[in-house]
Amino acid sequence: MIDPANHFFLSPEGMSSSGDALQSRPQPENLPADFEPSLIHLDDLIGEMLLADVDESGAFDAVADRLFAASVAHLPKVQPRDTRWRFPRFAEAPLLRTPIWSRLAMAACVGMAFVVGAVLMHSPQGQPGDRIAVVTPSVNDSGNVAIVQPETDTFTALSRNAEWLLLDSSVAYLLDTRDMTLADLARDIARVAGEIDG
Amino acid sequence: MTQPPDKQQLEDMLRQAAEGDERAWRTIVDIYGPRVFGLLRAQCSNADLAEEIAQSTFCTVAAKIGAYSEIGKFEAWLFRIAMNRLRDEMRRRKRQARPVEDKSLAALADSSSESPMETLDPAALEQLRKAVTHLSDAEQRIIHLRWFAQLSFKQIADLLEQPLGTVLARHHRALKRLKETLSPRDEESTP
Repeated sequence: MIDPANHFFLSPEGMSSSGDALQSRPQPENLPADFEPSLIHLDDLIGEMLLADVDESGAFDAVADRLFAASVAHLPKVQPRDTRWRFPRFAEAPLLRTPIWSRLAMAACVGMAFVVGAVLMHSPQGQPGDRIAVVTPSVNDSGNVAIVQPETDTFTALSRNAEWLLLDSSVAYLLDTRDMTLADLARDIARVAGEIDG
Repeated sequence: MTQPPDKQQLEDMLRQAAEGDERAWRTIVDIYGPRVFGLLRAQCSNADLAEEIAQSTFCTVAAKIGAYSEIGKFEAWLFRIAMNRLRDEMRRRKRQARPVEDKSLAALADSSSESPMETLDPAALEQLRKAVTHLSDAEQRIIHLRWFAQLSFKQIADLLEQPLGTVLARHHRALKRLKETLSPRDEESTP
């Protein structure tokens, strides 16, 4: 057993010889204040001993160099930003990162849209249900008007009705514009401009 | 060992390293490399294995640093990876961390001619070494994390996933046991 008179473990005075060295060591968190001074002293000594043992074994020599050399290649590589626009590669398309069920649902929607489009394209214009009654006004001998023409195709009826409405309205002159040429239009505009100036 | 940076410096270095800055990464390795290595070496008593695991740890950290987002917990993250790697490696090799052999410690003590503790009683130091190696693994781990990793008790508790009170009590108990081991006993001192 160690001579109690020189028992440096348990007496802070015994640390005087290594106190300076301790000051240069990395110091961890202080122990709680209610620790006995002898335990605090012992803790310091343990740390000093452990660090000194590793230091003196030469184990720390260039260890950081080797760790850096081994790990630096694993750092993230930041690519220089390319501002040119590129068509997104198929592999990068967000669609491929979605779950499989989501992709299937999207494919089903696209397929259904194609089917509906195909059906509409191949159907005749104007369905049997798309028929309306068209009133063609006329005046008979007794003075009655509004002969009802039973049903006609919606598209045709609308065209005829529109024609009739134009003929019998205050904007009937617009019908004449159908036969106007660009030269006529230019001449009219020039005339109006001349009248304004004159 | 290089002194740890303050919080802001560390965050700046981590951000730069995450952007691929090798100089920032070099500084991080300089600061934490010896601490990780020292901790692992103390835990497994094998410098080669300790360096191997330290390299693996830093490779993992470098690869994942771009995704690191836990502000203020880098040290706990780093040392947790290191400790987990060590545990996995020990399991893989199916061997326990061997306590430091007395002979190797004695050799270290003999070769420590420039030791800052050279003026201390070598016999007493040797006795302390032995006493520390006779502590439980859990107690040694706390001492190693405290001195090599320089973690606070709170960080140690987080890393070991134990209550802070447990860590403090375990550390206190270890010190008291060491003190009792090293103290001359009354019955021996009395004739």
